[in-house]
Amino acid sequence: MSLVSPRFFYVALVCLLALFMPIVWAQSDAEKIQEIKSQLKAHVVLSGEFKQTRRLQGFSRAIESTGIFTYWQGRGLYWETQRPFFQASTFIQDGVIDWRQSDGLSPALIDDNPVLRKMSAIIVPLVGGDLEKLDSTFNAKWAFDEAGWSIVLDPASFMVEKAIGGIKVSGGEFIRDLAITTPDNDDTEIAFLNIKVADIPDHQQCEYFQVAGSELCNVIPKAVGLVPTNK
Amino acid sequence: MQTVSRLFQRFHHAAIGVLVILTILIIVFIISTIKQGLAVDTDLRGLLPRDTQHELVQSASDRLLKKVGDRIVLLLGSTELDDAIKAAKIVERALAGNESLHWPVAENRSAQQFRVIDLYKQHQYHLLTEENRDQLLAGEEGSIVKHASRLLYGLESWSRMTTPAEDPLGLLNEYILSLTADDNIHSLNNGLVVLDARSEDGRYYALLTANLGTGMMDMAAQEAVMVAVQNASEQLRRDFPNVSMLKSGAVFHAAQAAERAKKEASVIAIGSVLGIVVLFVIAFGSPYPLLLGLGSVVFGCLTAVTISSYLYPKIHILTLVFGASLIGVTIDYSLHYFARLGRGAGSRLMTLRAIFPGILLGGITTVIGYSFLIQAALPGLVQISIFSVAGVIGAWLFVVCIYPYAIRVGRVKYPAYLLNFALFPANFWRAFVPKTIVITIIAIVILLAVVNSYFVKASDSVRLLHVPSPELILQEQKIQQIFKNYAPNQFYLVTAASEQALLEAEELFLPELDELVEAQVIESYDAITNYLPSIKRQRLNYQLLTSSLYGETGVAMKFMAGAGFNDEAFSVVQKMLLASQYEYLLPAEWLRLASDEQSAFWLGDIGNVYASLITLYGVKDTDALKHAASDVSDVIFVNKIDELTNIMGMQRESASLLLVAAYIAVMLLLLFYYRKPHALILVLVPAISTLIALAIVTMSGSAVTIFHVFAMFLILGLGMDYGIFIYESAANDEACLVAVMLSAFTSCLSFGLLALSSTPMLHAFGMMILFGSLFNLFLAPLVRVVPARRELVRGRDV
Repeated sequence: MSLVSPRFFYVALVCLLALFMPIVWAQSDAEKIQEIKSQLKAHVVLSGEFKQTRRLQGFSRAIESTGIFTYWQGRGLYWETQRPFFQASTFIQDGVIDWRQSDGLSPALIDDNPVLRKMSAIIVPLVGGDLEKLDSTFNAKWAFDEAGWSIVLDPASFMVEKAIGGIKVSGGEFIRDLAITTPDNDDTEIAFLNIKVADIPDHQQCEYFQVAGSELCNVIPKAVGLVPTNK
Repeated sequence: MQTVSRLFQRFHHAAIGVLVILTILIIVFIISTIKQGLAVDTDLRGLLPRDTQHELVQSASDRLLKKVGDRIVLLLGSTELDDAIKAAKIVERALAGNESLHWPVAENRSAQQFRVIDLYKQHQYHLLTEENRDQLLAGEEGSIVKHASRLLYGLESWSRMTTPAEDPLGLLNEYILSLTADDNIHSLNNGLVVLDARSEDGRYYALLTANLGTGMMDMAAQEAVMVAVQNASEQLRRDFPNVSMLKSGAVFHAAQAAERAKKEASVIAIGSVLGIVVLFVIAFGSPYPLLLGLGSVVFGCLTAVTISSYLYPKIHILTLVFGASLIGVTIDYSLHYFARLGRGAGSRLMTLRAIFPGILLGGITTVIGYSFLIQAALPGLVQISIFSVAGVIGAWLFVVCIYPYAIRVGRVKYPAYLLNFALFPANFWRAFVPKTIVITIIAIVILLAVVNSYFVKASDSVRLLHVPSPELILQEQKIQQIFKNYAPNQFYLVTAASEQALLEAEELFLPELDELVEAQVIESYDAITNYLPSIKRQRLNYQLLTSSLYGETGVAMKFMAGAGFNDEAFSVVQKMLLASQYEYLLPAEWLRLASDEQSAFWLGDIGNVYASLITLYGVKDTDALKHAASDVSDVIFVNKIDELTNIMGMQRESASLLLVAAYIAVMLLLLFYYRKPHALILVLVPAISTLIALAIVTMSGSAVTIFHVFAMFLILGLGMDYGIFIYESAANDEACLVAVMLSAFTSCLSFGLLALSSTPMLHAFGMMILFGSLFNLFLAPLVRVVPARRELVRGRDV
C-alpha cells in the first residue's frame, strides 16, 4: 500500500515539470541563440540580391528598389542598387565610399561623416549577421518558429532610438528579412535572396572594398579602415 | 625734550587706539573663519596680467574665461574603438554618480543635440550648406536632386536626421550632417564623441567634457574632482588596462599649484619660526622675548590675513606662500626693541622712545618698498603688496603698543661668537680709511654696472607665474594634438555694433580664412556662423530655394512627383515655405539650446560691442594670421601668449623706472628728516646690495624678470632698516649691531626658503632678497664709518 496516491504523484510531477521546464527551455533558447550567432558569423563573405520596399509618410506609393550586395566580415558592406537606377556605396568602419558607374566602377566620393559612420556601425553587422556587434546598441528579443528565428531589436540608446526606432530581423541559415521602423512611422523592408557564401572575396568584390591587387585580398585580414578620407 | 615726550605719548596713545580697532577686527575675523573657514583662491588665472591697453581683448578674454574656464576634458584612448567607448561610459557613470561634480549625463547630451535639430527644422528653408548654396548659385539643381534620390533609395537613408516628408530634398539633412563633419570626429555614440587620433598614436579617443562651475576653484571642491578622477582612473586600470586617460582643465593646474603652495608655505613658515626660536634663545636666553617676538609675528600675520580678507573675497594661495616670508621681516622690530632693552639702559617706554625714530623710519621705508608692488598690472602682486603692508604695520603696532607694558628684561650678555659675528662687518670697514672705502665703492659700482649691462638678459614669460608638472604639460600637448592641434592661445576676435552686424562681419571674413587653410597657414578653423548664419545669409538661402528648387519652374515638384510623394506632401512643403519666410533663426533661441562647446564662440555683449571668436587649428604662421586681419576693421587677431609676454615686458620696464622713483622718494624723505645731504649715503647700502644681487643673478645665467625688479623694492625697504638703525644708535652700540645681524638672518632665512619655491616668481623674489639682505647686512655699517654720525642727526642727544 503506497503512502502517496498515484493521482497526487502525477499532479506533482506535472507541477514540477511546469516549474522547471522554462529553465530547461531557457537553457535551450540561450544555446540556440548562441548557435545561430555563431552560424551567422561563420560566413566570411556573403553576397546576394536584395529587394527593398520603403513605405514613407507623405508618399502615395511604396518606393521599391532591387540590387546586389556583398558583405565581407570585418571589412564592410557593398550595397548596389540596380533598379530604378544605379547607386552603389561601400560602408566601412571609416566612412562610406560612393561609386560612380562609367566604364566600370570608380569611387566618386568618400564620406567620413561621423553620423554616417555611426549608422554604418549598425547597418553593416545587421546585414552581415554579426549580431554580437549590436549587443551594446540594441536590446534583443528572440523568437523561434518552423521557418527559423526572428529578433526584435529595441534601441538601447536615446540617439539610435530617435534615428531608427525599432528593427525586426528574421532568418534561417542567413538573414532573410530586415524591417526597420522609424519614430515617424516610415517603414523599410529588405528581403535578401540568392545568398552565396565564400571564404575569400573574388577580384570584383575586392574592388568594392578598394583592396583589389593587394596581397591582403588573398588573406582574411583583421578589419582596418583603408579608405583615405577626403581631407 | 618735554615737547617731544608729550608728542610721543599722544602718538603712542593713538597707536594703541589703532591697535585696539585692529584687534577687534581680527577677533571678528577669527570667529567668522572658525564658522566658515578661510576662503583661499587657487585660480592661477587671477595672477595673469590684465591688458589695460586693449580693453576689448581683455573683456573678450574675461568673458571666454567665464564660459569655458572651468571646463574639464577627459579623453579615454584605446587602439580598439569599442574599448574606448566602453571605458568612457564606465568613467562617465562614475563621475555622474559623484554628487559634488554635477557631471552631465550622456542622455542629456543626446537630448540636447536633438533639440537643436528640432530648432533647425523650424528654420530649414533658411539653412543651406556652402556646397548646396554654391550649387544653387551655379544653377546645378540637378546635383541636389540626384543626391535626394540617393537618400531615398540607398542605405544612407538610415543616417537621415530628417524624414523625406519634412525634408524632401534632404537639404536640411545635409546642413545638419555638415555641422558634425569634423575631420577628427570619428563617430557619435549616444552623445559620446569619439575622436580619431590614429594618425597621431594609433588610438581612438572617447571625449568626456563638462563645465564644473566656478565653485571648482574652491580647494575642497578641487579635492572632490581630483579624488573622483583618480578613482575613475584606478577603475579604468583594473577593467581596461589597455585604455589610457588624458586630462585637461584649469582645475588640475589649480590643484597642483595648491598642493605645491601648501607644502612651500609650510616649509617657509616652519623654517622661519624655528630660525627665530633658535636665534632668540641664543641671543636673549629668556623665553619672554621669544614669546613676545612670536606674538608680534602672529599679530602681524593675523593683521595681514584679516585686512586682505576684508578687501578681497578670497586670499590667493601664492599670497599666503609669499606672506609666510613676512615672518622674517616683522620680527625685526622685536629684535631691535629687546636688543635695546637688554642694555639695561632705561624703562621700557624710554627704550621704545629711544628706538622709535629708527623703527618708524625703518617701517615707513619697508612699507614703501612693498607698496610699490601695488602699481603692477598683475592682480596677484597687488594682493601680495596689501597683505605684506598690513602685516608689517600690524607687527610694528604690536611692538610699539604692547612691548612697553611687557615684562622687563634684564641686562643681556650675548655669547661671544654671536657678538663677533655681529661686529665683523663694522670691524671690516673700520680697518680701511674712509677715502679708500669711497674709491673702492665707486669702482665696485662701476664694475657692477658694466657686468650687469653686458650680461643681463630679460625674460617676460608667463610661465614665471606657474610651471605645471611635466606630466600635465605632456597631457595638454597631447590633447591639443588630438583636437587637430587646437590653438587655445590664438584666435580671431570679431566685433560689431549689433548681433547681426557681428554675424555678417564674420561671414565676410571667413573666405580669408579659407585662403589661409589653402595656404596651409592653419589647418582649419571654426566659427559661430557655421551654426548660426546671419539673417542676411538666411534671406539669401531662402531666396535661392524659392527661386530655383521650389519656384514655379523649380525641380522640387517634379522630383517629388517622380519619387512618389503625394500631392498633400508638396502642398505642405509650399505652405511651410511661405509661412517661414520671415522666421529667421535668431541668436537668442539658438543659444538657449546650443551645447556649451558651440556657444562658447559667442561672447555676446562685452560692453559697447558684440563679440565672437573664430578658433584656429594647426597654427603655423602667426604673422600671416595677423596680416590677414590687419585690413579688416572688425577683426582682431589675438595671440594671448605674445600679448601676456608684452604686458609683462612693459611692466618690467615701467617697474624699473619706478624703482628709480622709489629711490628718489626715499632720498627726499631722508633729506626731509635729517636736513643734511650726507643722509643720502643711507640709500647707498640697498643700492649697492641691489647691484650685487643683480650681478649674481645675471652671472648665474638666469634671466632678469619683472619679479627680480619688484624684489629690488624690498631690498631698498629692508636695507634702509639696517642703515637707519645703525645711524640712530650710539657709537659702538653692540646691541644694535646684534639686532641688525639677527634681523638680517631672519630675513635671509625666510626669503632663502622662499627661493626654494618651484614657482619661478617666488624663486626670483627669494633669490634677490636673500642676496640683497646679506649684502645689506655687510654694507650697513658703512653709514657710520664714512661720515661722523653727530653731523647727521638732527640736533638730538642720545
